[in-house]
Amino acid sequence: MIKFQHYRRNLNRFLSLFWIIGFITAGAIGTAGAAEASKAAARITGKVVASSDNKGMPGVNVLVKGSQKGTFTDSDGNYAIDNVDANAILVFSFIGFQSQEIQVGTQTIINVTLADDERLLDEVIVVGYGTAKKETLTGSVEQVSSEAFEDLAVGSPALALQGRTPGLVVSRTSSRPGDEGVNFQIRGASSINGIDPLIVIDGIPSINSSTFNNMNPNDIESISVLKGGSASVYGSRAAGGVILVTTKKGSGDVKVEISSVYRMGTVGIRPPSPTMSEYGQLYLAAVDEDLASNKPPRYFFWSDRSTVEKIASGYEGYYDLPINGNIWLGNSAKFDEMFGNSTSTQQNISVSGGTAKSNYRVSAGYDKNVGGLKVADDTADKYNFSANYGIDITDRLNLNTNITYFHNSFSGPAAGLAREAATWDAPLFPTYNDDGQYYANFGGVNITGDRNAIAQVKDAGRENLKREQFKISTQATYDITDHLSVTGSYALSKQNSVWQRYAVTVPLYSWQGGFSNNINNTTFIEEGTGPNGVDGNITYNNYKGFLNYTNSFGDHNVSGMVGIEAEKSVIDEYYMRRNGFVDYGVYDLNIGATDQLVTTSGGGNTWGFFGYIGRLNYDYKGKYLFELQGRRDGSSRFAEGSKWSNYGSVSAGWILSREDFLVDSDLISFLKIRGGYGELGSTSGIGNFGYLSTVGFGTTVFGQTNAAQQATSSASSLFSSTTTWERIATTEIGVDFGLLQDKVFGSFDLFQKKNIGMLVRGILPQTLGTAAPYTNIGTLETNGWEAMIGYRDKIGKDLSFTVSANMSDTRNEITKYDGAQSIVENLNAADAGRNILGKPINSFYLWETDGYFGSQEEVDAYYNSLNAGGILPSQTSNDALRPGDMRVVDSNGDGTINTDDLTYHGDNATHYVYGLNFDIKYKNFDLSSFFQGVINQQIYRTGYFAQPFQAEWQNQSNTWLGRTWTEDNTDAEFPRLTTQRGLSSWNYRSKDHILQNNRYLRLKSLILGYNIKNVKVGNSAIDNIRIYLSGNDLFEFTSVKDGYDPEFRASTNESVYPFMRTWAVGLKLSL
Amino acid sequence: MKKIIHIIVPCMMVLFTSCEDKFIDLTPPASITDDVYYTEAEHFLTGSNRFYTNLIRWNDQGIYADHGSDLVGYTEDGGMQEYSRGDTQAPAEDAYYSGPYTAIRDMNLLLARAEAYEGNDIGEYVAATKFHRAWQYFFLVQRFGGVPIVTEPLDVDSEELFGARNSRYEVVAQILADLDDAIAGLPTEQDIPGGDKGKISKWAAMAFKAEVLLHEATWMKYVGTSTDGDGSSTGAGSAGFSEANINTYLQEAATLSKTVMDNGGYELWDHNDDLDKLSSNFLFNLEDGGSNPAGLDKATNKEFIFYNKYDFTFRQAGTLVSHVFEGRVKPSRKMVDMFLCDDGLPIDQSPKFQGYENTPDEFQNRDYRMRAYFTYHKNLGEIPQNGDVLLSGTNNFGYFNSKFMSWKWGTDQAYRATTTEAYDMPFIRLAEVYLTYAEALYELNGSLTDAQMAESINLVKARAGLPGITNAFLSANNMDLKTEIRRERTIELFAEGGTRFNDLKRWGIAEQELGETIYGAVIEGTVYEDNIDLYDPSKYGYGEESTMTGVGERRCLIVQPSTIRNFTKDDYLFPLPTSQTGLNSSLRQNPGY
Repeated sequence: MIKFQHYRRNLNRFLSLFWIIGFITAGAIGTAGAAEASKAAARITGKVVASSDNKGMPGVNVLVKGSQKGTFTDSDGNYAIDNVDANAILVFSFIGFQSQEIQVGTQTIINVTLADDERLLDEVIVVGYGTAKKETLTGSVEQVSSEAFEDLAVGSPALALQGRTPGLVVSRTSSRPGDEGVNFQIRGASSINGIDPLIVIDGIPSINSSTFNNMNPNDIESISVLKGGSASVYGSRAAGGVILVTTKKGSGDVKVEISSVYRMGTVGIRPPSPTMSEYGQLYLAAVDEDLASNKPPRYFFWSDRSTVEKIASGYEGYYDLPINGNIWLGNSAKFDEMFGNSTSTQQNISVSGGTAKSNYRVSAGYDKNVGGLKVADDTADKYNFSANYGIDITDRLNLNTNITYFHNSFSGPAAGLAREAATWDAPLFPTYNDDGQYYANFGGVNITGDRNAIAQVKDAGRENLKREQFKISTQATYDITDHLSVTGSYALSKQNSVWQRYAVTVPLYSWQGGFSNNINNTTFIEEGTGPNGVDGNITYNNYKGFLNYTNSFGDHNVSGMVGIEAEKSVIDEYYMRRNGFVDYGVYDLNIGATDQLVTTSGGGNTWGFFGYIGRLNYDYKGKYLFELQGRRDGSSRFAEGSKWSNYGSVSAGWILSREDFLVDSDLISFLKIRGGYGELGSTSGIGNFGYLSTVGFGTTVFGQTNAAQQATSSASSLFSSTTTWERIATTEIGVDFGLLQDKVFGSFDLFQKKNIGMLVRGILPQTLGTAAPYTNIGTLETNGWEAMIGYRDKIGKDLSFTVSANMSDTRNEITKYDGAQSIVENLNAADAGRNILGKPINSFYLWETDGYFGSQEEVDAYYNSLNAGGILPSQTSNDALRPGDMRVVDSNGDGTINTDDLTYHGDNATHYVYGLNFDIKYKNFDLSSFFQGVINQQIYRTGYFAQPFQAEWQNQSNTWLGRTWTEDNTDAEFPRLTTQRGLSSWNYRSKDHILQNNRYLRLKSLILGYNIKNVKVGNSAIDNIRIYLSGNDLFEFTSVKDGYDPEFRASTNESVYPFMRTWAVGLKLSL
Repeated sequence: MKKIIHIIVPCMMVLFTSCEDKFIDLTPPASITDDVYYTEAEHFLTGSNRFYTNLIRWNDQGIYADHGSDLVGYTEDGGMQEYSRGDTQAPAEDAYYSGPYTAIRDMNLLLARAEAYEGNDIGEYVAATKFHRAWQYFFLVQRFGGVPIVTEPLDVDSEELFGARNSRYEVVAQILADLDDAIAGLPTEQDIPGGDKGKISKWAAMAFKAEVLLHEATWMKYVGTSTDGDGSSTGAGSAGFSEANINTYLQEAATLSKTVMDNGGYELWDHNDDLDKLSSNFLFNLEDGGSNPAGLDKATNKEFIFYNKYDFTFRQAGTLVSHVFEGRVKPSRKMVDMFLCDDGLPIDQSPKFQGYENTPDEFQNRDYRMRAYFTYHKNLGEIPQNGDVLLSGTNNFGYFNSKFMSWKWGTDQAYRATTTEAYDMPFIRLAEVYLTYAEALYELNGSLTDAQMAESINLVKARAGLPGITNAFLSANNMDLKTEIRRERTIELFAEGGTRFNDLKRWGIAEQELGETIYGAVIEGTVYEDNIDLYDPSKYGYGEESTMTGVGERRCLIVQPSTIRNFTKDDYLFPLPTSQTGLNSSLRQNPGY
């Protein structure tokens, strides 16, 4: 700790120095630059054409090297630039073309022909607060270009990122519109508090993940993923990495693009959902195994073997049952009745263009995303609008303005899509009785069931969420000299969120038509800003001010930046509810009853950051690269005296391929090694006012016949005023390479992240009576690697192709966390506060097993070798072990099988996540396919289908059918069935052999397109018509044993809404 | 111009810097901090109101309703069922350990703030807080034995966090001290205004103190220090144990009970005349007028002394109440046979007992409560006829429960759907005070006078349609007063307040009673015998066995055999959660875990 503080102090001193130097050089060099520029006055004009067709190229960037001075070519490819010194070098660049540098000398007309660029590494990519050439980057940044977002059969840009770039893991848990559960993680876990990546759109941090998830994918020009130290320039909120999104800008001739996509979804992997006879067969199999081992089967409602046999035979009709009465049973697996194909559409229009002085792009989009639910509307509608406008007000003053707006409305059933839809009730109760009334589960005669998934989904109430976000940002850049510029920007983002939910009574009936029970005996309507803290009405302000400096001195290239960024977010929330709601087709709080429970609550929160930022880049001959970044950050989330912290990073790179010994190599066309060390802060996990003790209010009720509510209060939480930022130190080293004229390209990165002073709650005896406050007492270490390799080439003139692959992995370990040693069986989940020192986040602890008992002698010997008690079922109980049951290992050898025998079985993180990309272009055709997968992710199912006969009243998964141990099948995958809960738990609960690998490889997208160029329709010329077919999630290979989609979450009760295979036809016109 | 810019830019940056506080020095917009709270009496009122939310709720039915006890035939795995079989293992966490300490912290904080408060208008709230603190500690003592006493709001560096357990005797002393303060400061029930009903009264504090005293006196008498451990390697030790306290406690328990009986203004809820003798059913699902056929509402209830308050509009149970009570507390053979005949005699002595041959027989001429508790909820009070009861599976062993179930539940006229029930949850009611009084006096003196019986236990029996007992009646029928007091308590408080397990333990007989085989219906010589329509033996795992019934030895259905019921002395106390013993090495686990 002492050493650490010492280090921090040094960093402080260093940063102060850096600051002073920054200001002085900014001023001094600025003045010098101004003097130099006034010397010359030549006006240079010319035209830029493309080598392929010799036509003028609009929008080409013409820049005086080493300065901020420059212009763009107009719609014909002409440009003019004033005051150019004879020594100056003009740089002509355009994305997708090779840049050219031309010494001005005495020329006044310079015409240039630009050639197609085949070199990936030359690309200019967006980095923190600016752009950089990928070639000379010292940090680890990956860029995904617009192509990844175009023509997809999904409407969300977030999912398009899945597998695209190594180190960024994008996961989802459902395909339900508006509830996809998309989660991003860059380079694995950074903290047990789960730090989300910061998403920055056109320089402005997004207010929440929905800002990005609701973007129009067609507006995205590129996405950069900043990993490790290079993200540190975004310090205060960048500890989980940064995703930088750049939107499209206009240039050149007026261009109108119209696209229309029609999508169709079909059900992908159908989760286990037994039919009547499958349910019966499984039950019968378990009953027979019980009978064979002299146990009384737990028949539950089915009373006896013959009833179960009748169910297994699929007999539909009346069953006279002792508990239920005379009830009708029929085949009714709800899944197929509920889910099926869906169709969705997406429409886009954009108008863009530009002149030498200005550019604009305006776009609008509409996306309708219909879920796979057939029986009720389950849809998200999204409207996007965006306008980008840039103008050079004077030669030196440039103004960029961006306005975006989206409106997303989701409407779907309020409940009924979780366990109700599959795992809860046996598939024996048809949706409707003969009279067309909703049929109650369990027959509705003597057991007055109150569930019917389809009735619930269709008629029992809905949830509507409308969320809109509006952002206006404006940025002004003034070139003080050719080398020094100042930029100021302001952005305002606003989210309005309106959430509504209501529940109404739906009566259910017996087969004979008698009333059984209601779904929702309590009805209500509730409205508010949202169901959880993510929503709400948010106002976010962002202010930035920067000085940028760029210059070259011979072989020495220097650039630097100092700046300030300030952010403040205010969240307002409210919630109200009235019980007693009747559906008259009007859904407003006013319709709720006033004589029943009325609940209202308010809420609100705020946070702010203030940061000083500095960056210095230096390279010598473009071969030796150095970068130094520093930040000083303040956060509103800590107490006075703990608000501020300093961070910095240093990185360096060496482009070996520019050295003499490699410059002529035929094999190696590019080779760079780079590495660095950086520190970032995070406030993740701690609340907005986690250092203050606030009073919590509630209510309880007193009185007699007309009781009333009274307020309650408490203020017992503990807070620490010394708690401060988490400090995440990243050490990384990487190599980028290109072989055979960059036909083969790739990179490899190794990194280590260490969260020092991780914000965790101290683990103290519960006699404290409250949770210990968050303090900086934990340490998490994460190690990982990323690799990418690709090959691209041309065959003949018309065929070009690219093949690339990437993979990454991380491993973490909690290396310091006093008291974190209390182990529970199965998953020790971080979000439940279960962490284990010396183990990864989310570790599994299971009992080891050693095969099945082969005979009663083995069972008896096993009992003789052990003490009674623990989890071992009593030998005289119905749960007594039999041949075919699991032999659980007494791993600590103490003679008792109990929780002390649990052993560590890895974590639940995704490991070896990879993506594979194949692109082929032939003449006007293009074909691209993209696969994504995971090699290792452990999953242990939870919920009703995790184990057969966890309870006999629940539905039983057909996944076990025919795969369990029997006398005739002693090599079965799963142990012997039983209807005895305790024995079933012995075999299936928290045992190592049930742990599954969620490995998969999935075709994420397949796009086949055809372009028709320069056609005339009537009098109007169309530059390009593109027709394409595309598909998402078309097929997969998976090792999942129990029939679930590998992307589903562990809970079987939450995993019914299926992932869809999406097919799309699209038409795109460019005018 | 350019020079000016060179001056302006750095100036602007400096200006920018000066407003950093606007971004990072913020105050919460929607909550108040506690340094402005606890400055007015109102704040102590709302603070003490909160402790009512810490009481056991309907969600805690498992421990409240004695799931798995010897009185219950329903069997399953989990929680209290495992406990009753002696299968409980030390868990990593136990919300019944952490929960009380969370509540106690709140209480300690309020009491600490009260000391700094200068007014004299918060006495009632302080007294209520002390009551609640005693309540929580007593819960801990009953579950775990001695536990660490915390009476101040601790901080992360408090040494007390890593202290050893206090013995149960020390904790009880703390409880009694808190209750004395509570009794002194609380208003009488008569002084609590209608809008505050449900709040703790002086009488309730006295009744609770009597319960604590009786519990601890009998524990010391029958269990002694046998579950304490030595305090250094296991358990909480026996510091402060004094045999002399037994009689002191019993005497005070009797005195306090008598005070409540005489001054409390409480009365037994006896509406048998209007409710077809089913008072002992409708008292426990009492809500508005629609909750029973006589149109009685909660205002008629003068019997509950301390209870958890529910309300259909503002605070519904929110958990399956009727549904769970229907199944989980179906009575065992032992429970059913415990009810006396209406001549006041046990079934094996009473000429009025009709035997078991037909299903309705055993219900004839019995204690009213048997019908009130154990007839089928859909036709409450109707004695089941042959064919109404099917022995068709493990948990259909012959009997129904309807105590704590909403009226007509499960029919289309159900007063409440399950989860919307809003009847109050009794913790202490007058009937229990009568029984505490009787038991305390009996344990103290070994006898009761006829007058003492008449003013206590006989009142409870009267509501159940039973004649009162006198010393002459008991000796004439060779009946034992202790047995009768315990019988009355067992029946009256069935499935209520965790009474059964606690009573068996403090009487020192839990290992015997819980270890016995649990039986269902009598088979031998009844309509069930060899009648496949009514009884399918293949549905039961343990067959039949002869045992003593009201008519001598008869073969009865075995619900659970004694071989798997292994409750021992070590199980009297629950294990401490291992997360806690792991963190604090001075915290010794209870013996046997």
